[in-house]
Amino acid sequence: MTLKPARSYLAGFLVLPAVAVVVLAMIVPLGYALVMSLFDFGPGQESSGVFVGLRNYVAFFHDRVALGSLGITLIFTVAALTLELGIGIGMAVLLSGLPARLSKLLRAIYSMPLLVSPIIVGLIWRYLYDPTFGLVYQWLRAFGLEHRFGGLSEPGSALFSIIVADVWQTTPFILLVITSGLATVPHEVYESAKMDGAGFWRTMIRITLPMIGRVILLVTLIRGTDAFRVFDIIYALTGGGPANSTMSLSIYAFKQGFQQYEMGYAMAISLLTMLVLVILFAPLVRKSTYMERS
Amino acid sequence: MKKKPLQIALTLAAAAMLASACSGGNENAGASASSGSGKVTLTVSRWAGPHADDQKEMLKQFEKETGIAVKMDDVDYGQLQQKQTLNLSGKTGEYDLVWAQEIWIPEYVKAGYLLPIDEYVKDDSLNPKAFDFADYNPNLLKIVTSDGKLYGLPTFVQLPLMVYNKELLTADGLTAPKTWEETLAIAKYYHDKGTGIALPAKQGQAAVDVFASLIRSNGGDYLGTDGKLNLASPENVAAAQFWKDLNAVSMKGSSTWHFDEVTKAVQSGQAPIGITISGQVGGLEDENVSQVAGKIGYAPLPYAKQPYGTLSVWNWCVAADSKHPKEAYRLAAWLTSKETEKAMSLKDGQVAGRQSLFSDPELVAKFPFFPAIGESMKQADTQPLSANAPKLMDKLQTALSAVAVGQSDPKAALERAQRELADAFQ
Repeated sequence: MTLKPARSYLAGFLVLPAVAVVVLAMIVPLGYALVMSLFDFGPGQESSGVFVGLRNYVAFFHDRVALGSLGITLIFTVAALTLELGIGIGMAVLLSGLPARLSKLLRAIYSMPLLVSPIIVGLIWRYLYDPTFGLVYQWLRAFGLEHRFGGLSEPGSALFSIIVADVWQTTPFILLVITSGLATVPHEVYESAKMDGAGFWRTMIRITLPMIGRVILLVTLIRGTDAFRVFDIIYALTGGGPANSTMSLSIYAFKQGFQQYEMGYAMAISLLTMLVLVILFAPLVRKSTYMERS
Repeated sequence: MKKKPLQIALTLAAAAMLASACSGGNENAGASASSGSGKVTLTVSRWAGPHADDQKEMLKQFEKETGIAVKMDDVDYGQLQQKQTLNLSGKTGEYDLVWAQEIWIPEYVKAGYLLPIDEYVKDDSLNPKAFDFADYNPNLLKIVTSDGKLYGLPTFVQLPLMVYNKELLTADGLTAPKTWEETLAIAKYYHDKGTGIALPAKQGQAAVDVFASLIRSNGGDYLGTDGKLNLASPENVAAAQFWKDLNAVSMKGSSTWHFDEVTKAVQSGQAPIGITISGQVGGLEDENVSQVAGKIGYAPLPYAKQPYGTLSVWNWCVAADSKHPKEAYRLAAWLTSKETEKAMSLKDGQVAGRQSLFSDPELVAKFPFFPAIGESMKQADTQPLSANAPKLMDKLQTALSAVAVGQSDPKAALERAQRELADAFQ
């Protein structure tokens, strides 16, 4: 009994490094951003900032471009995530049905886009989409469709074009994670389902998807939060244009901070982005911890 | 008791980890400090590209002449301002000399990032032979002067220019365009044939720089004679209408192009006519990369009443947190000396801030676009450099992009920008 207090001190001391990392790397910057979002100041001019209270937050809800960028970010997240999950899960299931060596080879080939940095992916796709030099238009020309697709040039199609590039790059991530999830499903379950006469879709809906539910949830969390903070691929492809039609919240915050020198407003936008992320994804986090416990 | 050594070991490891977590983040400090041998190493910040590569070669000569080593941190143009701002605001001392665009200067000066160099300019021991300070274009020096103090030396002048394939135009029986109407007619002629004019119409600063020339060539400007913002004046609306009409006969994809893509389209022989920037036209005359070398004609941007250039100039500025400000200035003076600037111009056709080089026979003979730049420089101005200018540029970028893709009526787009800027320009 006498040893207990000493042990608990030691335990407390041992978690200090972790606590220090969390405080220094997460809580301090967050607190700093929260405080500085209440000031009006330019980059490097923190000391001469003017306290404006919640004005930066109020300004966001009166800023047409900011609200537009919130909508665009939501559309991007939902569309990109849906496509990536659909294609990623579908490909993972199809590949798992192939002979092991072939599926490994194909998985390696499909995973290549993951190795390229998003900014380079943006540059590659910028040239692919170029109506004069790009491959996309050369293919469309073969079918006589080049005048029907605006690509990055028109506000109506620019966001869709970016989503396609993003899907090309990030689907392999989903594919890899889902594949590892599929490996945990016992083979006997499929065999007994087969014996019971279950077809492909029935097996998929009744067995595969429920059994990799946790993995899907996890990958939705990781990819969803990532998609909501999208920056580099849009920055490289369109810079937010044409006519602000691809302006994501992160691009807008960057522009406010480093081109408009409105650092306080940029921080307010970033914190609001985080708040929306929490509202959108907190239920999933709760669900995933619940599943963890159960 | 047996557990004690393990506990001690774990405790020590935890303490070591904590110490290492608390240190760090100071890797860059002293990056520009003297090395152990006492040799000074300067770090300069600029954008990357062929011009930077040429400059790196020149820097070897500076090192040989002075014994001062120079490390160049050349990054993509899109990241440059952000990187400079982060380093200068953090007072990391990483940069001794920064290459700054004229529109950044007011903000940099206001934030205390730059060191006044008036005293150094007078100190002959820091200047190269035949320095001739009076040879710097006075209009350019004004841009880097604030409250009577000089904050940099101008070096790399850029102006949007019109370029056209004169061989093709002659073959088609057309003459080189000058005015809005003439340019529209030629762009339409080629648009009907499947190409059109190559324009830097991407939502960004290039389009606004072209627009500034257009409105000023029509007698308009952002501010009215009373000094108040007057974006939707008849002269400006006419210029925006011209921008819309020109975009309607532009090459497909122009609304996603910056100057780089326009240059590439002209270089490859795809675009018969285009609007690009002087800093890139050297590449059009380079036979190794251009299929139209020797075939290109150059002119100021199309005008309504008189040609008007939009001036952009890069300046070498000494960082306020430099540990070697004198050596940094010495490098700036050397880089912008007549001799170095001429050598750089001969390499890639860059336009320097030195008056005497505009009429240098050797340069004019090698680069046929120098007269067009001289013509544009006669009537030229920068974008506004006031503290609220970035807001104006941002709103115009959006408005012109919307006009270019046909999403907005020119007058409505300018009126909207005017409304949205009302608070900032009170």
